[in-house]
Amino acid sequence: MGTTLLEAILEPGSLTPMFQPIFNLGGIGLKLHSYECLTRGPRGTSAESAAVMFEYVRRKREEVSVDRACVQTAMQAAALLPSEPCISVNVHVRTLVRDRDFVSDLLRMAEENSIAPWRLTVELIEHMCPCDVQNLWRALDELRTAGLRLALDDVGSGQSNYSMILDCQPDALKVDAYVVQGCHADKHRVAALESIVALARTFDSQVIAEGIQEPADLDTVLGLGINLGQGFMLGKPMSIQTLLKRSQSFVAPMACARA
Amino acid sequence: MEFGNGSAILPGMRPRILIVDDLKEILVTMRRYFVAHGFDVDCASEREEAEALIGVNEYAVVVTDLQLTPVRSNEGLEIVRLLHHESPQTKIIMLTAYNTEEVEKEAGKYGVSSFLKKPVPLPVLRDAVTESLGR
Repeated sequence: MGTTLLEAILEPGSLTPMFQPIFNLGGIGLKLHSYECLTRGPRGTSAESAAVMFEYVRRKREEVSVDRACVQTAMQAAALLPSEPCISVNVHVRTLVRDRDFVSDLLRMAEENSIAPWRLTVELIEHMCPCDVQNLWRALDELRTAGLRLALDDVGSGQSNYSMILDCQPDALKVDAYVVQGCHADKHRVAALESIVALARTFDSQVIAEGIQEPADLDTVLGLGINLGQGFMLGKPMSIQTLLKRSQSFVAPMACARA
Repeated sequence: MEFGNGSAILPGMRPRILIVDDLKEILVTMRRYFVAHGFDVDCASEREEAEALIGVNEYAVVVTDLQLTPVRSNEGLEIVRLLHHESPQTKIIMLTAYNTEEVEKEAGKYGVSSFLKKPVPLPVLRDAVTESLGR
């Protein structure tokens, strides 16, 4: 038997951070709002696909160790970004529930890489209902107290449902690409988006449309009052090297505070 | 988060197959062989890796060893059960060095199309894969 895939994922230097821009869509032209830091697994393995890697990690129940490695990788790369943009990192809800030291370690990693907490958003991802809500609330309180923002990922699919919105009360709802893609020609998708926008208003949360790939979908989400978006049409995930070359062309954000 | 997807058998495309075996040397050999014979090949050396790949991609055929670790026996059957529920159109070929009638019967219930005793010559395995695809 050789090295397991998990060992390969956790090998120092094996993860590749990628940054995908999230834009302010309103106004004239696109303005950079923040970057979502995504992670690719070791080259030449199944985990090179992020979807496969995280599905594997969830099946191994190793979210804690891999989330830690991904956050560490993201912070180290984000430290190289010019003009101190806001960044978001993905963290499993299960990690926050299980690992009592995760938040303090995340804050330490941020400090070590000179990333101020106000620049950071934790995107909560979940594929199982959290069984220990008290632990989750404790972790979310710690994050908020430290000045981080919270976003709920994949809203409209999987476990990112009403109970997660109620439990997390996030600052932002990231609408899953499944709901967004094709919305320009689908009144049912529009209805789903309208309901998320109304819900976000009640929770005083922002809405971010994920997976925008067509101009017509962009027009539709803008028409519904969704002013933040990401997707291949707007900007693909980029390596830190590519991003450093292109960063001149983006308008740096003034702040990430809630509009 | 991003999610990828892959289709198994669109017209004109190479059939996509998944090979599952805990011995990496076997995976390397099989991948080389099947790629050379016109297949798109993914490989997994653990049950969870195979399950993750099945959850993200669609496969025309899955070739899996029955026993993936010495400790956790008959893990190949878990993969077969998953495929039966989540991807019933996928054809399954099971390999084992220690097949018993009982296991074969169990595998048959979940739609395993061939049960081959290891070591299997690669041309024999390729025939089984081709046959399962109805070619």
